[in-house]
Amino acid sequence: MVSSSGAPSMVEVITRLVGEYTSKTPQKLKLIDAYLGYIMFTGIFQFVYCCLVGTFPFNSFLSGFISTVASFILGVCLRIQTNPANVAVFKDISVERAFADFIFAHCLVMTASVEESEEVPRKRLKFRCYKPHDEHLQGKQVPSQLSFFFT
Amino acid sequence: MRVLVTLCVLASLACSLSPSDREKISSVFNGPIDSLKSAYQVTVARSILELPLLESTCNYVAGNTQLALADLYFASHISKIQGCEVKIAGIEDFLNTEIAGEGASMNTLFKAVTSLSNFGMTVDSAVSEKIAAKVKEEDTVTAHSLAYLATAVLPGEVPKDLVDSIEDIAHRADTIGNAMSFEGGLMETSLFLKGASVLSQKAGKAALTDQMTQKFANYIVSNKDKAGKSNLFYTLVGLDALSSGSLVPTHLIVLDNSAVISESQRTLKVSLVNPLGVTVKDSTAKIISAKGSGGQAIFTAGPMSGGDGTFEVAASELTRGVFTAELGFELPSGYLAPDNSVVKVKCVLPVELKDATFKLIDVDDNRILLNNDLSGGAVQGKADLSTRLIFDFSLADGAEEVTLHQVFVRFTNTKTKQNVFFIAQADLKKKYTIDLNFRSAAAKSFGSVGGQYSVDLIVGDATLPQAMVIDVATLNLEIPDSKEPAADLSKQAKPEITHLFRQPEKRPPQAISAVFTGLVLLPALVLLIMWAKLGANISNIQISLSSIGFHGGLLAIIAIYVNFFLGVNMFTTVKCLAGVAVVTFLCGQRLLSSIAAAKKAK
Repeated sequence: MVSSSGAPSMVEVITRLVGEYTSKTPQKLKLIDAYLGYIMFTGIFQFVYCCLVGTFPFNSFLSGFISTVASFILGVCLRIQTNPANVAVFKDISVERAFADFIFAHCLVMTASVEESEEVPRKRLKFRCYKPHDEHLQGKQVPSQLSFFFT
Repeated sequence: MRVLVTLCVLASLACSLSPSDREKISSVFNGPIDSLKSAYQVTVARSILELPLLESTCNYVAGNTQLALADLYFASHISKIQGCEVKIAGIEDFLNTEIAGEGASMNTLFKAVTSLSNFGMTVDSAVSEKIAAKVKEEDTVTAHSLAYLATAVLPGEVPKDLVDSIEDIAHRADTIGNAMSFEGGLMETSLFLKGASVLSQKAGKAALTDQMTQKFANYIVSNKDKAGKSNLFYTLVGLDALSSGSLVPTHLIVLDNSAVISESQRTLKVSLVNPLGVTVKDSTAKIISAKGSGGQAIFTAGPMSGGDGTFEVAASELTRGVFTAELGFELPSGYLAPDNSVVKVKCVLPVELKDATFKLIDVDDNRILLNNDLSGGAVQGKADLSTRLIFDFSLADGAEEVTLHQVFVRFTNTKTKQNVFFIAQADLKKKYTIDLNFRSAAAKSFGSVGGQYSVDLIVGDATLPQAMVIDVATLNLEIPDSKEPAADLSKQAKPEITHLFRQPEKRPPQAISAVFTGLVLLPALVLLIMWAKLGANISNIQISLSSIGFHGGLLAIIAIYVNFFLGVNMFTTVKCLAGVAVVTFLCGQRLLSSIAAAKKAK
């Protein structure tokens, strides 16, 4: 498929790119790439949700989105450090060392993002014992599933 | 107290007794006489005010006088003024013994000497040396005053240094604003003035300066409204001293409210009086100038008619306005010109309504509903929302049109008596106009209250003899009554207060949330599929302690995070994490380094 001008067409370029990637990339890097794709799409879906529906709960959105960005960056780091083409640059860092760093950094990112997002889930999940004289419930129907707590 | 006095003087109250003051004070000195002191005060006060003396006083004196210095002092004065006889034996000896006494105070000397003189008995002239010595010893204002009074009745020359001391003593007085007084107050000041007056008259020369005299007069007059017989008595004594002294301050007063000139009252009458309120005889007065703000004069400059202290002048031409008349006086010697010789004269003249047109116009079709020049008195009219009222007029003073301070048109509802005022503004030609559109005025000015209104023109000004109210018209105002009567809210239930809790945030429909939850989880599924396709497996896993520790540790960490997300607090999380992390770290290090070593060995 050669165009009249002699330059390779878009389709040709993409086909070659995919072909080269499939044949020349080591299997471990492909696994990491799959991981990166997963992270990227998770982030994109969260962002789309935020654009379409709204930022509430904003904490959760921020922690979710930022954790995907951080994970993506860590993934990219891991990929660079484990790429056989880069052995010359990272000759002191073995693949195992890179993986250990990746795991450690992930633990930190998770701590931060869970802490950030916990505000809303905790409120939602924490049980509260309602009392009949609670001011804001005066004269209101008590939700039936909570009536258990009065006894 | 001092402050009050000053204020009175600064406010330039009358510096003499007015006829009403004299009347008020006279009524105080009508009796009753219950002591020699009161008999003395009544008699002296009545003689100062030139009132007939009381007959009963002599009897009281004859019956109640003892051979005592105080009694004799009072009795001697009454006897001198009223001519009563005091028949007590040995008065002369008694008084001379008092004078000769070693410890005789200035007060004793004064009373004894005055009494002797009043009774017409001879006084030893050597007493004047004793008085001079005593004054030096006591050296108070009162001691000096008594010395002056006592020396004045002694025969012979007046000691020069005593006369000279008058001015020195006067300098001990405090000046506050326009008034001058001694610390001892009214009594001390009056006594001093009396003493200074009699002594300087005897010496034949004025002892106080013009300015001092005027200031003392201001102080004494400011006491004329004080309560108490004693206060009034000393006020009279002080005023008498000033009126009979060698320098008499004078005061200009306007008589009969004549500073307001009108057609019926064209004459300004003024009077020149001494502090006691008695007119100054043998004086003449003249008008120096009498100009208004516009430069026109109300009196021609020249001498005023009248004499004996009362003068009058007739207005040369009646012109509306306020004038400042400056007067000049020629006074007999010994009299001081009044401190204020300017009289504000006001000339008031009536005005009349001129060139009036009272017009009612229908604004919708420009039809003239009513046009009247008000020559036949008040008019009757009808107005509704489409009516416009135009009321033009001028105010004329003779042939000349004038503008005045307050010109209003008043609408009075004949039923509710409520008033609505409109201010009439004059234009440059001195023509007044009221232009009223009932469509806009109905709600704003009349409060949507219709009915019959009487319309009056009200004219007021300082230069009018009295305010004018001219009945202009009676208008029947047809305004739709839009306003509900205001309900009385005070006894009604207040609106219920409901508390508004924070509204929950808007949430998307559950379907959308579910779809996006699916979407976010979808890449994870795709990841697993792709990994499977790429041939990821766990076949290489070694069964060793470090491997189990590492992988188990990672799973445990994930489990801890899940718990953290579900609500375990951070401290618990960190505590658990610390234990698991150490194991995972050690095992991981072991495992990964062994893998690395195995690789190298290959």
